[in-house]
Amino acid sequence: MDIRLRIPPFNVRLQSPFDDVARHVQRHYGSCEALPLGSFIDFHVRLVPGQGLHRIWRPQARFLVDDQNPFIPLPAAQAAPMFEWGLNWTVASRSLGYAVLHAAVLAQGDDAIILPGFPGAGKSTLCASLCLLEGWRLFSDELAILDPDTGNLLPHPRPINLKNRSIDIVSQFRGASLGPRFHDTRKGTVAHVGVPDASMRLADRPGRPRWLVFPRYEEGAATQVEEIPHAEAFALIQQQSFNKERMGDVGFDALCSMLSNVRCYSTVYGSTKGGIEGIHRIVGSSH
Amino acid sequence: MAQDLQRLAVRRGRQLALSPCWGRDAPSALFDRNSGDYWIVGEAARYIVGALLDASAAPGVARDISIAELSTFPWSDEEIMAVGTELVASGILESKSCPPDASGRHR
Repeated sequence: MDIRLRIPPFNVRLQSPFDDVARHVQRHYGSCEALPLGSFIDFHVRLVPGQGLHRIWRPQARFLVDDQNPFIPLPAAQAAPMFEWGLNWTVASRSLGYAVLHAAVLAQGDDAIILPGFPGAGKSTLCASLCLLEGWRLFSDELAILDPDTGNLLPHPRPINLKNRSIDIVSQFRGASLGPRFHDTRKGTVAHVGVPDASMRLADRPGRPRWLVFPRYEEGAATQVEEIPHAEAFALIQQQSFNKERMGDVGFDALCSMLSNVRCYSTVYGSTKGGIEGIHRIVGSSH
Repeated sequence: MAQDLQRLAVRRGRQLALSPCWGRDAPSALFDRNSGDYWIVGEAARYIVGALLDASAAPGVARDISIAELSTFPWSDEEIMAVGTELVASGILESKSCPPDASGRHR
């Protein structure tokens, strides 16, 4: 496979001999625009077999971006999730001119909510529930891409990465298009949920940040919502900035400007329904 | 240290930027462009750092400011001294003492 795809806001070339990767790309990126030969490419990704014995004995897959090999090899059976993890790393560390945060982003119309990905947040499950059950437009389940020039958030719709128990939860959601499960990965069992068509159709339409919400999942907990000061939100969100060193004061100014235009909250929730309820309370209080 | 604190300046090697003011009495974010360090500071600290940044931006004006010049409503000399001491201890600012004049007094 050697394809050039528009995965907004980037152009990606992917080369891979693995059938699993081809099936994964067809399933989850089949509606992405195929780019003609000669198009500018932001990231040149290759998934290649392991070296030496590992081509055939305990076969491995390696991830290369722009001919550099940033990771240790994984079992070849994990080549498809490796593509997702590797592309996340590539966007987080190599996108030029954007401030990239570890957060899910969704929007109602053009009003965007940012859900930073601290451990225990339940970010991906909450993201899946908002997008599949409540019709929010998916920008990304993993990467908030902030344009410092405009203050806009840019969609980067890719399959939602789920792991372990969250797979069973989301597989019950109406409209969830789940791919195969990959077992024994470093994150346990992982699977991917397809991006809703409506989100893909609007993939080039930016959003304005309106709410910054720090979620925390505690099984069985009653839903709590608390508005927090901007400075506290700054201290938290900058920990989730992937490229703050490289962005320097441009990134600082972009983050501060974003914070000046959003309301900031923390929420604790104990179930899918509770998580949605918390977001309703936050969004409802702003209208 | 508090008694030696007579003039304050941005610590050498730091290039500071303040976040927007996020509300009356609200804390602010302070960022050093050179190191990437950041701090959350209160209103009085914001005022002190802001005054120093304004001073260093004006051509031909001294880049350090005395405690007396900084003291202004609603903060007293003592409050400015205390906050200034914390900013020096945090490595954000540095203190500069003045040599005594002919009468033996420090300006």
